[in-house]
Amino acid sequence: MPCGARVRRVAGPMPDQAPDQHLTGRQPRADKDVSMTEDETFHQLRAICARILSVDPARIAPDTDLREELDADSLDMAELAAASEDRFQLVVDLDTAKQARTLADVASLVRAGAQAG
Amino acid sequence: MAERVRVAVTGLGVRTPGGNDLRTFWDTLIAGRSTARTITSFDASSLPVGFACQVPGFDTGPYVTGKQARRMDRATLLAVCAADDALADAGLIDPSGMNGLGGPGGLAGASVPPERRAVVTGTALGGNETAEATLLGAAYAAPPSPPPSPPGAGAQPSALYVPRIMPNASAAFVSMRHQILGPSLTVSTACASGGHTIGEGLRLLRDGSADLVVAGGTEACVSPTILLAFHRCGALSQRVNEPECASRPFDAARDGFVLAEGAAFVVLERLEDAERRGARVYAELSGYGRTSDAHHLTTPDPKGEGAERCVRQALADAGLRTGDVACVNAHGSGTPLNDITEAQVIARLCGPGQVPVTSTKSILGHAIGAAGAIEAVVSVLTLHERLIHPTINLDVQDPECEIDVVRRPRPLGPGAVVSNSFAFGGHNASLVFTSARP
Repeated sequence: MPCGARVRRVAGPMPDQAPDQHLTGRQPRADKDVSMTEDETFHQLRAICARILSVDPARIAPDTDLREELDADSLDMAELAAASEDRFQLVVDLDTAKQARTLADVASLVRAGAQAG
Repeated sequence: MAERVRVAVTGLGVRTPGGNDLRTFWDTLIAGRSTARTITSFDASSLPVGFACQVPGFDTGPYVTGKQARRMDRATLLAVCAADDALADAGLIDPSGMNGLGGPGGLAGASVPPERRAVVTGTALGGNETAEATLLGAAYAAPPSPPPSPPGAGAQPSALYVPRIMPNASAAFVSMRHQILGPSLTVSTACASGGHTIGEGLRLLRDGSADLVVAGGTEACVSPTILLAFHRCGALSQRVNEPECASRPFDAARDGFVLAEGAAFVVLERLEDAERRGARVYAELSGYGRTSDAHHLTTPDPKGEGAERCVRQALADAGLRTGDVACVNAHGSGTPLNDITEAQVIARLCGPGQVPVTSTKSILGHAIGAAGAIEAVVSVLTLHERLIHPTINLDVQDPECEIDVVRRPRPLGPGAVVSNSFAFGGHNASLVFTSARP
């Protein structure tokens, strides 16, 4: 994973989401403009993932197969996607998130979500 | 006509304010030690009623992994631990097996095929702690079951929100842990849930739906919203300066119940099966009654007709008469209306002052959907130990309650123990326990 690149965080709600956004369960995003390196993103995702899987963060590398090596199941992946949305204030494609196998995959989703925003 | 199936109680497990093992639990009851305390697990100082009966020293470590615990509300954790203990107590799983991180994993000791095992759980409020922490913020959540979202997540529910709040979560987890492939059901009849689960378990065995049943109730509802809500509908005692004196069933100065939490489970199997495998038989579950008041959402029918029919039905189901009752473990919530109604029902059925009556809620408070199951365990132990625990805080008995309330531990006479549970909504449950081989 290249380090040093910047992930732009979503700033404010997407134009097509108001005004019935609450029906989708998604909250309007806070108007923030905070940037973060990919390394920082990974470390934050790793902390979230470790909490969800109840494992030592040191066991999670970018290419660790979360399902095969850490017994993650579909509910874990859904929780990881939702927690990522909360943490980074963006929208993650849940169907794609279900297919993710590594934290690098999840980080890609987060970047994609940020770009979509 | 074939002889009716007789059902034995062979295992007990508890998580209660009075103890998390049977010996501590029973000792607390016999000593008559109130478990009501000022709440310290969250800031209750702004609440009009800031005391309750909570489960102390609840350690889930020997039972579930951290990841499993994250998926469970406190109510589910209480249930899973109590159900494991009941199965271990019945000799169906190895207690030492619970030390493994994966839990017992299956009924290795049971010869009952997975398809013939059943579980029935009861709860009134399901995963209340998770719901409240998610909707109001996590400030009130207490270990060992913190909400899956970090404090402040507030409006965004975790992906675990639904699995943690759903009322059937305990039944689901118990079935998964013990490879229970037969019926797994949840009953929700407010304060009678725990009684109904055990009665419905009895019926599963009688009707041939299962050969082994794990049944019980759980509740983890000591939270700001539930305390305030019960207070506002006038159900809670307001003796904030004397929590230990607040639960006083049948006393003239009673002013409501004390909110509690806990879980209790029993293992039920056919008496002949239990005897064949050499199991310890605590008691026989002989009768079950369930009726409805169809009267009012929160107050009992003042004539107690639904309650009376319930007890009569349970005794008839057991093939017993009112004269065969040796003790009534009353619903005895300590609310002005319940206690008068229930006392009058008992006096009508058995004669004024003719049968010893006790209220477990005087000591353990009212654990809502778990109460009936906790009191069923107490009733079983009453038969097993041949001793009735006292009702505490009975200083001046309400003259309208013409019953013999047990004030000090009293030997149990010959006969049956009846356990009553009456609920918001007018749901009534009565269980009749007898000695297996009198």
